[in-house]
Amino acid sequence: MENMEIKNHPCFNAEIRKKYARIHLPVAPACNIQCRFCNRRYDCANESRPGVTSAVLSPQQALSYLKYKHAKNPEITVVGIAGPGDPMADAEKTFETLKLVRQSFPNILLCVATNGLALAQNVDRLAELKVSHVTVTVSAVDPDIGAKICAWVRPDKKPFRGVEGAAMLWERQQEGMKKIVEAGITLKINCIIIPGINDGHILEVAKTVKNIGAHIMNCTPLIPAAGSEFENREIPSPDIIHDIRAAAGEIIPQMAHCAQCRADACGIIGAQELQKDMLTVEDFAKMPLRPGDDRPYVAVGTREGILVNQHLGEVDKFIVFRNGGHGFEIESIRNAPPPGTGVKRWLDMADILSDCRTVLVSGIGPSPRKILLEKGLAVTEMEGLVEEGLKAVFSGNEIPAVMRRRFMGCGGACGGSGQGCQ
Amino acid sequence: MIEVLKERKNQVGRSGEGTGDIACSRPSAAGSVSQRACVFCGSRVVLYPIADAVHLVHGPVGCAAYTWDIRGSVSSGPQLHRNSFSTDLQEQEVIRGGEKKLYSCLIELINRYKPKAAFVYSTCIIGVIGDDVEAVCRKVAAESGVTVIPVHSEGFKGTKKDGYSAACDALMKLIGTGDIKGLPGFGINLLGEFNLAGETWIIRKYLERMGVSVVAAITGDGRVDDIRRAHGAKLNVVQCSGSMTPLAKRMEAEYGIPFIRVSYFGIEDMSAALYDIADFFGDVGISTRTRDLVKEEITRLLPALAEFRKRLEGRRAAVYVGGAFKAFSLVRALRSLGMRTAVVGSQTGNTEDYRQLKEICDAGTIIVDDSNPLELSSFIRETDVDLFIGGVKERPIAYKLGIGFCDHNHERKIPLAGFEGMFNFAREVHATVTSPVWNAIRGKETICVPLPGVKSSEYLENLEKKRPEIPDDWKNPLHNAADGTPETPTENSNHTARNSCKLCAPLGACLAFRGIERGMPFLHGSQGCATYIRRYVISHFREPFDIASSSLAEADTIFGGMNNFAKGIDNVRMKYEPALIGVATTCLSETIGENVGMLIKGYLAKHDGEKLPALVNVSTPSYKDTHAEGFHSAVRAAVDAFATEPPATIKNENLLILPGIVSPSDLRELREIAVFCGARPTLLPDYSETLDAPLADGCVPLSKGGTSIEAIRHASEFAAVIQLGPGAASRKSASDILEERHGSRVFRIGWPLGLRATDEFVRAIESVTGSSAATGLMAERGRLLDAMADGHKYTFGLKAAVYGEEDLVVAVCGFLAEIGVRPVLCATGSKSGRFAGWLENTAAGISGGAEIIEGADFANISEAALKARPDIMIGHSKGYSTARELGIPLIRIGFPVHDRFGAGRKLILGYRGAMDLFDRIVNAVLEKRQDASKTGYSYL
Repeated sequence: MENMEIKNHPCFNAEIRKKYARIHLPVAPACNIQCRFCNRRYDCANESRPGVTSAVLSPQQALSYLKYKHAKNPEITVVGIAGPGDPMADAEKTFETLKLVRQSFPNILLCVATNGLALAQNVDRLAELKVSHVTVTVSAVDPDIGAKICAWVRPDKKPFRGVEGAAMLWERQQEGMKKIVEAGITLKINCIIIPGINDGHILEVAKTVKNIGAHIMNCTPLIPAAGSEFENREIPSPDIIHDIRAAAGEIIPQMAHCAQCRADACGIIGAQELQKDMLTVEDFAKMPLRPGDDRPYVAVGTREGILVNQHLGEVDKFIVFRNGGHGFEIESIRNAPPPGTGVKRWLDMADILSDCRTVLVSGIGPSPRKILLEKGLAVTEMEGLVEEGLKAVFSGNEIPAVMRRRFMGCGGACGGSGQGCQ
Repeated sequence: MIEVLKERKNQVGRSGEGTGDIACSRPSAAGSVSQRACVFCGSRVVLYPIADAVHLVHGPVGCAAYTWDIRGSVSSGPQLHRNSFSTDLQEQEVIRGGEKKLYSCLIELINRYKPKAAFVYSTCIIGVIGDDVEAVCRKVAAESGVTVIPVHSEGFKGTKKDGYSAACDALMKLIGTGDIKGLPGFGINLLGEFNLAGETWIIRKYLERMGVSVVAAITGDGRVDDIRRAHGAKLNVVQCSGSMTPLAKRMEAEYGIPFIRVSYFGIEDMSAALYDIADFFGDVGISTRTRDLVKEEITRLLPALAEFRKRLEGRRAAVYVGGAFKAFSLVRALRSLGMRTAVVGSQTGNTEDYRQLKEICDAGTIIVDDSNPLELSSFIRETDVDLFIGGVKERPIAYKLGIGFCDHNHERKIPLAGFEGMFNFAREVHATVTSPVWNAIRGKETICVPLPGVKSSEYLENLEKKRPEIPDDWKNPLHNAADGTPETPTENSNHTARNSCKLCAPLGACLAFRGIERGMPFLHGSQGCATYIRRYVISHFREPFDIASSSLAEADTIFGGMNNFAKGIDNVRMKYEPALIGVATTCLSETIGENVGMLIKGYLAKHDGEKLPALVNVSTPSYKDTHAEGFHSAVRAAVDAFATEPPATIKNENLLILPGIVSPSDLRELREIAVFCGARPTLLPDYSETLDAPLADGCVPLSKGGTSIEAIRHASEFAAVIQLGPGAASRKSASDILEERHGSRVFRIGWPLGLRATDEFVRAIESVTGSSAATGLMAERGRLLDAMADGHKYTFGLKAAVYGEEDLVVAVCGFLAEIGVRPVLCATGSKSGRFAGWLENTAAGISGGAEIIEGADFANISEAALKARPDIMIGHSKGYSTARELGIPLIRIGFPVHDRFGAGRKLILGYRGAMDLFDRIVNAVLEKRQDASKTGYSYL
């Protein structure tokens, strides 16, 4: 099936790029490396470049979004996951999404774009879901050059910087790419042309990836993203791009029609995407995290209605919010079950809040947390404005670190001797 | 990439990286230019706000001088705490013991002020000379019936944290000594709330609304009698827990009072504090009222905050403050303004604090313990933040780098605690972050006129209506005894330096060394001296001013400071790459007998063959002389060390000017005048650029400018040396050395202040260069004359009080004589025995009508001024309370000026300087008359 599949993928086949459309599902916000040209923080509707998205979707939201878009654009033949982070760094969300899509669209082409750091360990799962196309971004095959492009890599918890990091990245990329080729998946290489850093190195990249077995290569110019380390670097001239592609083309087939799509791109490559009557990715992000399920609300433990500041056990009345059209609205105020009934209290609580996807409280013990979770109610611990908490959980984002807990330190373990802590 | 000293590597970390703890709670690395002070500082911070106690600092004058009324801790009644009382130990007392002096001072102060208690702070030197402070305190207490409590705060005996616990020990001696009958049921103590800008009053109002009473606000607007009864409270509520947890723990152990830790900064933490207090009592009424209070306050506040947030969303901040708890509150408060924190650090956090900070900050946040100016500025650059939150020492770093700054330290005058404090904080952050000046600095075209928000203006209006009242019956703290009655004068007792009119010698030396090109001052002593002096100088010049310290600890005072000295020099060499390290001693290193000359020799021998900076040492124990002499000694030491080259060619136009302590503008003026007279002048020292650097230079380790060492080396080649000021010339000075060693031609004249003095300066230069002053300079002279003619009626017959360094007072009085102003009081902190003579030389007949005081402090000045009734005062900002008491204008000149802007830009020398000073005198008088006029005229 190898080369046959290329035919219907607009990114891999220039001849059909005007006919077939692709959709990117922005479900993978986390990343495990820091490229110096990348800044994923800001969204701009007028900006189009990899790593940018208007909103992040949960796997279920993504499926709803795909269904909606596919109904409007039946020419969509390819579903890709390209971020806004790295799909393999956020593997659980990526595979959950791919699984849901595969179930609903057995014949659609699935593709994934990754930096390759966490690729090798996931190739089996990709193959299992019949992912047919994988793109790996390889901008250098020499760690000394790689270190100038990538500030750090974080395969697990510990980051590796500089040449050490770049060497690790390249090693894992090779391993991953070999496995992809072995699994019979079409392998595309993206290579960012960064003048003054790797513009003299591209042909070396081309030769090396060709040897590994890559099928096609896309040499694409640097976009100096605002706020990134390379924000003030010059971009390669069209002449340079042309020359590089021509020379690399002698070694490996080139893709010359790349439009450097956003992580939430949809439609014909390079075509105008804004359509006023269409629901946008942001609209889907506002939907319940798991559309279709029966938990549309969020319960809050608060004393005065403004701050999340009650432990679960302290709550006598829950305020239950819904995500209304114009901000969050109080759906109801519900009495908590009275204390003193042991486990029954938590089971009753789970029943009372059975239509809530989570409950925001300032604290909870391990045992009630477990009981509630078994009943399908996740508990979110935080301290701070109710509004901020709702904003986070309704949009599927994490509670900001600073609101996750209260600071209890300072002087706690200090004997004041100035000789260290006792 | 940030370069951190090797021994500090594990004191810096990042959130989300690594599992290792941040190293902390250890003495500052020598030569690292820590932002920390010393043990004394820690004690002084905690006890200072006890308003009806005498606070006597036992030691040389510096420690007391640098902590005189610089904090925003206000009192609703007695103002006694705002004075600076020092035993002002002199060399003889250091040799023979300071107990007698301490005894006399205590008796004097207790008789004068009838305080409720007295605290005696031991400084470094007391720990070395071994005064039995406890015994003196016991004796005085027995004789006077007033509790006298020793505070063991010798600067070198640990870090600031040890000072906190010494203060807590002192407090424990008061607690439990009062009658607790009749105390309210819901009574708490406030610990670690310092009533900066009236914050304690804000918190007390909330508590009142809840139905909770405060038994003792121990550290803010504190009273001795309240503290005596503090054991009658049900709960201790601890803010700034780094400083006050030891006390809370001891009260828990001894009196069974539980404690909770809180913070009053930011919406969340303020609410949590009130709820925690309410929960402790478990009273339904209190709980309901607390809930209503929080709801009302936040509901009013949020719309106002939203307006600021709109403009601040996505901006980034760096936070470097004293304690970790405050740091975290700030991270949260910033977050509620939509801002992210990229750097967070503290001076005194512990391992657990940092572990939690790491956890609750966004990944990648830099977390740092005990940082220093170079690190902080590289963090700022690396993280590209928009705002820095810190104290006075950090302010110039931020501004030099072109970013906003918010003062969250004890000097501030705006309340940031409570819900309204959060509003003030937002307003402050918004004002500094969105100011159009940054656009100008970064060369951006856009100018956005700041629009007032509707909601925030409403909130502000409401706030101003119900601001807590600061007592309006202002009194000079010196004349306001503990119980509010006037002081009791005692006969012929003048032992204590009460608000000294001098600073210690090391300060002067540091100032002089910063006037030598790439010169780095280095204090051989404990960490606090460097930090205190830095803050003092920075507040005046509003420029970065780094001083390294050998950070001596207790063991070093026993075994010698050699290791710390060498390590400090190593670190300064590495981080600052100075051309000169100017080592000044302190009272500590002098008393333990450090031989800095030998230390330097040893260091040079060990590092033979390396590229070394020049090392110069000067002896500046603060129990001798004042900052003025320290300054001149440092200049002399530099000349002595470097001016060794025999003359090769002497050119008539080459001229060396030794100016004394004048402003950067004055230095530039001196140079210009000399150039006008055909000279090519060199000034020594020359901090006209180093302490008045253009912003374009950014924040560099050592700012550009200063006298080059090469020029000093060839000092023999100057055609003449002009030594300004009789005080500077009265001891063996730099000019004496040049005269003896090279036969240099020396002019010893007064400061060119006023017409005749400037004429004399001009003539001296002309006589060397052989050319006459250019017409431009003569035009300036003409304009000065013109101004003097225009304004003569407004100045004639005015009576003035002038104070400050000898040379300054002498020069000013010379000019006053020219414009018909009669000095009625001339005071200086120095004791040369020749002050009156110099004054008489400069302004003949002055001694007939003026009170002339040597070795003066502001108690003397205040008393004399009340008798002499001057119309104006001329001198530095420390005379403010006297001027205010007399209701007369203070014309601020000299050093320090801490309450006005542009102190470094004020010009008084030369014809132009005299003209400026003349205008300021005339206008001060006119302004006062106009303000007092019933008709409110607008035309003269």
